[in-house]
Amino acid sequence: MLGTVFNMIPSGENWKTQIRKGYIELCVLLLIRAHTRIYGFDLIEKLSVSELAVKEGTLYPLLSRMTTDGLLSANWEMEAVKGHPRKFYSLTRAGNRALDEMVGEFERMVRTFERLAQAEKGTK
Amino acid sequence: MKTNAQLEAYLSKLDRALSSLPVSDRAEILIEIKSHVLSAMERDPHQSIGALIAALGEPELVANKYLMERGNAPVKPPISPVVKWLVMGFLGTLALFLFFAGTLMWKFSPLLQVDEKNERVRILGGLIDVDGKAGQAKIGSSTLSGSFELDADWSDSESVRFEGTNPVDPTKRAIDVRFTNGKFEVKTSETEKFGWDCRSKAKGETRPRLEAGVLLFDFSGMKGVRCDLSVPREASLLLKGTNGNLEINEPEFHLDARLVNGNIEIAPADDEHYRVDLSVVNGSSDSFDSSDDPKAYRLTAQLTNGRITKEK
Repeated sequence: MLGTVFNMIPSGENWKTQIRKGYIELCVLLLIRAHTRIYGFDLIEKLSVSELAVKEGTLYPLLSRMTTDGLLSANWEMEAVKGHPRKFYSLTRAGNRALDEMVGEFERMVRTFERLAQAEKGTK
Repeated sequence: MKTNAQLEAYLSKLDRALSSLPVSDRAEILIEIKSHVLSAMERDPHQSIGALIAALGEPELVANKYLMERGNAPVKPPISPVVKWLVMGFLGTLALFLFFAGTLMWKFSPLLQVDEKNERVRILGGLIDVDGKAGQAKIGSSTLSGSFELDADWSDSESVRFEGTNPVDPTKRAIDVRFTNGKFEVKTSETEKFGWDCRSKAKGETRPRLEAGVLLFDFSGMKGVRCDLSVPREASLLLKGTNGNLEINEPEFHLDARLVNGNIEIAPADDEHYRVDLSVVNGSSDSFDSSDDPKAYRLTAQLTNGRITKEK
């Protein structure tokens, strides 16, 4: 239904891409904090379970950039049995602070949105 | 082995597309992507490496996401395989067309070659070859309709001579001559009768017959014929056939010549005017003076494969 509406807006796909970008970043940081440390493949699976499908080609560049920005720290670890290295991500102190601010901002946005939506319903 | 080869090829492309990044960053990215694929294969060993690589996306597109996340300029996106095949298909078709067109031009040139001295007309580089002296007309390797002789020695004992005269219908004054292989020399008759003096390699002879006011003379069944024809003044002569040579001398009659393969020579009378209408397909024609005088004699010729010459 929502997809149909988006298709009716000429720039619908672009709008979705823009809003998803910040939203995915927020969700990724939340998931990493929830698991303390997690590697890329596992993260993709957990996002998928949460009905937030993110492609590999999108997630890994995002993780790379957030690591460069100092929000994440990454450590290579060898898996004991299978023997191929995996890169585990965890939040840095700066990442934790940034996530708190992001969550606060997002919650404010949601509240604003809910107020506006409620007011719109009242006018009908 | 195949799995590793496919994966390594993908990583190699990704590495090239990330060449603007420091080596250490590139190495880390490649190891992580490889680790992702190996993890996915561990989770589901039945999954094909091709599908996993396809899920990652084109290496150049993945590289662009890394570059753009870091504020770097993206690399040129790869050309879609469909576009690539379309371009290759177009260029291939064009090359084939040019090759065949070039071959045809080379094979069939010159388009027309007239050798008056040897009475030979070659069309499309010899595809159609009318050889008056040899008495042959060929298309490709096939002889068109037997042989014909234009300037052979007709005085030998093997040829049959037949001659005569016949009055034309005074109202229509129309003569219709049909032939398959032959040479005809036509002049104006001094009398009111149509005259013929013919030699043929064929046994027997043919005579004209009057049909609906038209004097019909049919040489179609004769293998090679040479005739001197005399046409009464003001009459209308239709000369129609294939493989021949027509010589029209100072006509004071209306002429309609229709010939496929051969030559037409016309010597206009000095003191006469003509309404000229000539058409040639695969050949050439001299230019003739044409009059608008409705009383002038009609000089019409339709020639395919050959030449129309003006004799002085």
